[in-house]
Amino acid sequence: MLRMNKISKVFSTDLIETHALREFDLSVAEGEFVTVTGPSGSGKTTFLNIAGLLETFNSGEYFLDGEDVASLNDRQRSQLRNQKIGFIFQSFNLIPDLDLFDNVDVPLRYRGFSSAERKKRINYALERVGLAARAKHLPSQLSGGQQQRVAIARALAGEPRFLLADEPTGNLDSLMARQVMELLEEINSEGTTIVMVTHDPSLARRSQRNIQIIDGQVSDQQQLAQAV
Amino acid sequence: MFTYYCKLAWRHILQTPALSLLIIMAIALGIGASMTMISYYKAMAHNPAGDRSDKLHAVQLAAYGNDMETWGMSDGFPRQLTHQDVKNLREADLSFPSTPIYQFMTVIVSQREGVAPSNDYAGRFVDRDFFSMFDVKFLHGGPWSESVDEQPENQVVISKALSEWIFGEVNSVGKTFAMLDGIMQFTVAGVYEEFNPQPAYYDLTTGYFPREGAGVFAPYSLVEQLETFPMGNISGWQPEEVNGFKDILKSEYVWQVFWTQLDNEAAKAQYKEFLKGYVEQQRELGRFANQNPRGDIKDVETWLNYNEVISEDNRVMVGMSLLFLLVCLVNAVGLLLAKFMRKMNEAGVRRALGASKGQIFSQYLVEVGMLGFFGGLVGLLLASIGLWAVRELYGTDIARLDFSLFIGALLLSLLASLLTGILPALRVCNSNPSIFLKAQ
Ligand SMILES: Nc1ncnc2c1ncn2[C@@H]1O[C@H](COP(=O)(O)OP(=O)(O)OP(=O)(O)O)[C@@H](O)[C@H]1O
Ligand SMILES: [Mg+2]
Repeated sequence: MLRMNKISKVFSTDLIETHALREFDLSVAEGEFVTVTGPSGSGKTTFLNIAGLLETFNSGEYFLDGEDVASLNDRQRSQLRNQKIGFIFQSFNLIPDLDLFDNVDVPLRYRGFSSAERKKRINYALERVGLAARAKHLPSQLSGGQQQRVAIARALAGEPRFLLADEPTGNLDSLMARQVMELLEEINSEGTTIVMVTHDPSLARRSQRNIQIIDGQVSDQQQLAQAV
Repeated sequence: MFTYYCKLAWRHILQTPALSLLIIMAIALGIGASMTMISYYKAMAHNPAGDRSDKLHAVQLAAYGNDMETWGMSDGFPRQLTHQDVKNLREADLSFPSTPIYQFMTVIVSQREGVAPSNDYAGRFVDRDFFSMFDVKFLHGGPWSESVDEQPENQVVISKALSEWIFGEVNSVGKTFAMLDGIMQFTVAGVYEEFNPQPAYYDLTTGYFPREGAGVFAPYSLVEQLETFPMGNISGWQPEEVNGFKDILKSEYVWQVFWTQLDNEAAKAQYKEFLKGYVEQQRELGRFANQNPRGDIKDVETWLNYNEVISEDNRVMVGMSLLFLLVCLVNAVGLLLAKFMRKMNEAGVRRALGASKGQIFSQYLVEVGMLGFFGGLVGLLLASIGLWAVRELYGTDIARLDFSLFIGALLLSLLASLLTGILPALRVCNSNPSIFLKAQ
């Protein structure tokens, strides 16, 4: 599903150069649930953004679904992101002035689905996360856990094969965190590949594989459970 | 996708009402000011003669003496003609339609009950050809007969409005009324709808954009017997003793215009040749004793430029108003940047969810276009107020918003706003989405 060879990413600002990723190697197989841990500033978010084609890299190779993404232009990368990748963020990143329905609608719009198809998918995705009745509510009218479930619904609506989550439970209490984790596990069990950054060791332990990033490199890989 | 962008744009405009209103007003002020000046300019630059423009010609003669080098306009011609010359041109043995023109003020007596006589009406002495040359549209009757140009009769052609004012009805052909001194009787030969071309190219001596057109046209053949003093410019190049109208007729004062219709190059050449001969002949009589005696003809377009119907000031004003538009747009750029900066996070989210840079760019450009459209509408409102002020200020009836200006203003504001929006929209779509997706 995902294969990175010797990926390097350098952020150059006026004063310093930050090597966020250094010769980063990683493969993730189809259907895996991988958690990523590591100290703050070690490059986890950078890795996720590169994996999700939101950020470019300086050197190395990255194959997504067998396709070399280095040669793609912005439009092609966006299309790939739209079709294959779902994003979930720590801060939910719902669009505050759109109701839940319209929030989930966003990726589908760029996909070019018909309005009937979009409607079907939005309702299904919201039902899936148990918020169908709130479709006309604004994000600010929901709790944090509910907002994150909307974000998950939004990520799922396009049926991506690959879900990238950056500390999705970071802003939630442990009960809500567990609910979100359970939802992700359910999604994974249906075949979606998930890579999730987390600081919570108990959550990390529940995945099939945990990788630790230190200083821009994979320092440790632990096979925790049998792949399905 | 376009309707989706429109929906988003409309929503965003409603969410940031103050900022949106400021942007709309900035665009509207610029459009309002420039459209006011452009429509005023356009009205002035209008050539009302249409396809007769290169056929009708104003005649000029360098009819001054004393061995002067030059007099009159920069090309050495006075704008008007002496009565002697007009008389000679009029009586020349040529077959081209032609007419002299001079304006007079008159008292007119209404025949309606309780309406006092008025001296507000302007009339013009012309020949019969005037009506066909300048395309006067008759409602009833027509010009006086050809013989009247030779054998004067008290006949007139009046406007519909004047006919209603005198008689209380539009068709007054054959009726008589009192004019000039309020006693002399004139018979109506024809009634025309309205005649007030803007600018009033046929006689620029009494204002370029008169609010009212002439009410009465009387046969020029009556001039010598009626002894009616002209309204407008009279100028001379030498001191002359003038006691009464008869002396003016004999003087070297210039105060009339003369038009002739020359349909082709051959006709123009023939007329120029005729003027040359005429000048020669007058020199032998002791007139035209200047260093470069000659005659000239100018078609309508040339005549309008020559008389500076559009002054340099007008051009400067249009330039200034466009500069003002630019200033407004620069301000709008700043406001748009502020408006869009708030949307950086949303743009980042949209990018993460699969929007390409191009799609983000389009989304924001649609929003700018929408602001521009509203700005254009408000601008048109301001422009119509501005043009109303221009009309009041200059006492003219020109410079109204017409359909083409309406479309022009909307296109201009759309274009201007899109140009304005390119930078802010580029800023949004080119920003690195990952920066705005970080935990807040
Ligand atoms: N846009 C950027 N410009 C400059 N430096 C950056 C940028 N993004 C990240 N960095 C730097 O790259 C390094 C890795 O950052 P990254 O966000 O990937 O860390 P992280 O592992 O996600 O940390 P955390 O657990 O705190 O979220 C950091 O030193 C950070 O300062
Ligand atoms: Mg991070």
